[in-house]
Amino acid sequence: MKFSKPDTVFSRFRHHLWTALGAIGLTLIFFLVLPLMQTITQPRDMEVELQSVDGVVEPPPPPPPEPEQEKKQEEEPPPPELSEEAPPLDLSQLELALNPGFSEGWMGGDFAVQLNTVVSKNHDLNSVFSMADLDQKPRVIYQPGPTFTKQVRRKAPGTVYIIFVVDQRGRVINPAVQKSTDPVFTKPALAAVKQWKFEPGKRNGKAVRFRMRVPITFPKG
Amino acid sequence: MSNLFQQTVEIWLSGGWAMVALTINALILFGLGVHIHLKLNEKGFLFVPEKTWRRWISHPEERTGPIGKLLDFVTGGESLKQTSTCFESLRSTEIVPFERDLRVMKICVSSAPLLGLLGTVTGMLATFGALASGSGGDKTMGMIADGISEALITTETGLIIALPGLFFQYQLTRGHERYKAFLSHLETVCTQIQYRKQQTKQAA
Repeated sequence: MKFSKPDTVFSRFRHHLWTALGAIGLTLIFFLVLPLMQTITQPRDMEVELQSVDGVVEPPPPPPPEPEQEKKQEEEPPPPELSEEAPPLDLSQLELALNPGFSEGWMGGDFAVQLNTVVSKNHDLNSVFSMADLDQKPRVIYQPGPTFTKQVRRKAPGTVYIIFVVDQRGRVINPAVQKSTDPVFTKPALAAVKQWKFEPGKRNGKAVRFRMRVPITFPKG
Repeated sequence: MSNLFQQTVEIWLSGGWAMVALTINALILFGLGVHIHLKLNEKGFLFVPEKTWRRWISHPEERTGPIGKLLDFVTGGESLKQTSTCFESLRSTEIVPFERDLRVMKICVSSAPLLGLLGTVTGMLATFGALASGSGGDKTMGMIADGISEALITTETGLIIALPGLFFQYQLTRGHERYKAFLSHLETVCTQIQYRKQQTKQAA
């Protein structure tokens, strides 16, 4: 004795069809949740675009020039450790080092000090270096965007090019507007840049002052 | 919408082999869920009020639908023992398949996060493999990013499948319990009526 409902072929097919459709539909819905979740959790696009940077390294102020006689008095060659510690030459230094007019021998004792002196003598404070001259490129630590006033919103989009110096502690000094599509943007852009903080770029293992040129874009809306 | 589908496919592909297993698991899980849901609906016990089917026991000509067929089967017995045998047979054909399907569904729900975890492990292995073999360039970073993405996406997918699956399974288990309760109640009522009939016969 068994209770069973007489299932027709059609009703069985319909049941299987609904089961398959339901399974595929539900699976698809839950897989569609994945990109939706990622869209929801995605952070808002930053309103400030930081583009590639042309850097300027301000070399440290020149040490007082050493008297010529002192150099001549140094007769002993340096120990090999010292020459190993000497920083690698870049092209400009190499040019100077090969110039016979500056020192007696380019493997001379206080080689690095002499070079620094020479470099400092021949380059003023505003000497322009490419970013490649920095051993370690600067990194942004804190970069708030500019505040949008009603006036700014009305005039957007626009771009302000700002030049500023970053000191050894990573603070922005003397920001100045180089170019602006509209004078309205200059004030908020300058205010924002003043708050920026950097991990300063390094040259020969030391934090140096460098100059940056940054375009700040005010997007529309 | 097509963008959403494209993103889904990209995510699916970034999940690696664990994603295929998770999809199969989800299909079985939801397929079984829909199957049980349809079967429970076919029983029709929720749509016939108690008053009606109580009346149908003494009026066989009025019986219709699945509950009517069920009553035809269980009221065929002449004695209490026969009625009891009918209900026992009914349970084996009606309840057991549901229990089996629900058990498989439960396994699927439990295995979804585990499959996600498996994807996490393979993703992390891929990451460490990239770290060990790479030289630190962009290619290595890409491989590491792929591994981490695989690791996290599969875990997320496993949980996204398991959570609704768990609620779905709970809902179906509840429906199944109600059906079981209905059958027990029906058995009690049928047995009482049978007993009363017998008492009347004996008295006569």
